[in-house]
Amino acid sequence: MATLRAEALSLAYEKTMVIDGLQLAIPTGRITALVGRNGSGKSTLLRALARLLKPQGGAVFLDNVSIFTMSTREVARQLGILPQSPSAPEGVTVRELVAQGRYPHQRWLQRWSKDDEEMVERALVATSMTGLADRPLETLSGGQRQKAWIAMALAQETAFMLLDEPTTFLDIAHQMEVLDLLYDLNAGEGRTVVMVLHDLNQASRYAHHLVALREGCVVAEGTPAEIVTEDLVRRVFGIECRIVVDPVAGTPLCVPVGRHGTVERSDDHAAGLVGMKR
Amino acid sequence: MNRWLVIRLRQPGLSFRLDLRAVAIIAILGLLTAGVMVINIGLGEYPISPPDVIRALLGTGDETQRFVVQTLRVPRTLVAFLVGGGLAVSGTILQGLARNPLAAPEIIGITAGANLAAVMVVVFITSISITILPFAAFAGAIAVAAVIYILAWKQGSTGSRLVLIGIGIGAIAHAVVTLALAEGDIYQVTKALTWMTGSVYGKTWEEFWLLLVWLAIFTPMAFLLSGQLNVLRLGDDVARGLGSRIEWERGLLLLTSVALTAGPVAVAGPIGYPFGFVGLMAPHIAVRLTGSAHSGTLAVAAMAGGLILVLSDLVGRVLFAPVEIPCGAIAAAVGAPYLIYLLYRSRNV
Repeated sequence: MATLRAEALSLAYEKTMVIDGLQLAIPTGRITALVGRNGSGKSTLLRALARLLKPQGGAVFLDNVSIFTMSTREVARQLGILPQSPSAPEGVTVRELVAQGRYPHQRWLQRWSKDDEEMVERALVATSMTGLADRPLETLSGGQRQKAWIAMALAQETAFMLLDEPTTFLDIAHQMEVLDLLYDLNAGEGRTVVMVLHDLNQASRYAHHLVALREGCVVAEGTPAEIVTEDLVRRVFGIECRIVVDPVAGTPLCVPVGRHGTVERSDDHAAGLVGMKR
Repeated sequence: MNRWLVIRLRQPGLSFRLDLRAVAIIAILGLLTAGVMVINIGLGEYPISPPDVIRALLGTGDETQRFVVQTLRVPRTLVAFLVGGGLAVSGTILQGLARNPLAAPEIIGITAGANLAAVMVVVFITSISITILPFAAFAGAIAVAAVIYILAWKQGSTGSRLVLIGIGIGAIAHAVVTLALAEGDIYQVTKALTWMTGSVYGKTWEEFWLLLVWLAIFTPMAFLLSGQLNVLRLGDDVARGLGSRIEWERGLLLLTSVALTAGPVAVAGPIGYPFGFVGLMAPHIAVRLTGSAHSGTLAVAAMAGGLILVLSDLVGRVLFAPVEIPCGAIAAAVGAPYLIYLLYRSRNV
């Protein structure tokens, strides 16, 4: 099984150190979510795992080989990355975009092999985009567009799929659709998914493994049920919250406590609701 | 419906796909171009009817007509086609790399760099063969491209920054040209000024072959790199994620684009400079025709660019006949309003 891990990883933008000496192993075949506040370094870490950012120190290992010593094409055959809000040129159809995912598998004279064609069709089917395949991207809704990009990453046929905030700018219905799709891809094809997510509750519901970051350090990692506590949320996000059981998924659900809109504290959650009616 | 024509061979291992719509558009543009060329060849002080033109082209018919057509008029219109095609491919590459519809060679200073070098050669090195002009123009264009690349692209760049820096560098190059024109020998300056308007007037077979060889090197390179260009159009992060060695591939594409501007400029002058004409418009036309800034655009843009220039040469000749307007002037007259239209239409260039 393919593995992905970071070893003593140090990352910086210009002169500002964002991450210093981080250790991380991505569990193979699972969904891992990176969570944390804005500026906690989660997107930076994801970019480094996908070799988009060169580390100041340490390395990222794909199957025990440092990805910066491999050819970028070789990495691209094993690891796909979907950056945050990517954009395509005007008029590009869904099928054309998805076909771009085959780029690392193509050679000078082999530009469109049988494999290429099959993988593109499979990716369109898996994302249920077949009906929209010949539509230009800009005529689609935000959610459909994001699914087209995911289909492109799928066509890349990689063991690892890295996604930077795949649900940003989507409404709640499309957010669920995209997350369900990623869950299916993981369950059905065993792809390892690593994504940055803003919403801790969605991360708890959809990820097997959570990595909580604060100021470039891993504060906690493990299954959501293990690590999502009121104390962790305080340390990672700097807010007070109550953790209840998600009535739908059974995973931890974080209900933040703000300065306003709070009823009297009651140990019983139901009593709180009664209190609100009063 | 899938409109791709797939071609696969087992021996040798080969596979690619063609956009059927692009193939059809190229065929239509080719026919149109041939038609306009025949009309263009027929026009002049010694008019020849289209059937006679075709006869002369095929080597039959009247001997005088054959001489006028084959020796005097055909090279001119073929040069116009090559110039237009080269500039169009160059513009398509640049606009794709910069991900900005304004990044035409005429606008971001590449043409200005080629122009500067060529004017220097014409004004100050009088005793020189025209064969050196493409190389001088290429050197000038490369120098400008290198400066732009260092200033705008080193740290990863936005298209608009590239365009603005390019316009600035183009202005500097233009200032130096003005200085050279003011200082130079009057006879040479007149020659340079005529050249700077941009024209295919009096082009010979020698110039045609020169340009053809130049384009025969760099156009296939552009087509070979079109897959790389398509990936780079998706943005640096996506391209890198897909396994593109972006610095290297962008460098190669930039070099190709610069060469495809330098050659035409060396032969026909900086056509449409500084407003952008073929290099600006042809890629947009290709996108409109194919409906996509993607597969097939390079070839469609090349055909459209060739047609545009052959057509503007024709228009320049008939508009105030018997006075001829150089196609460069026609280019500027069309290019400037088109640029304003582009700026007006797009809010986020």
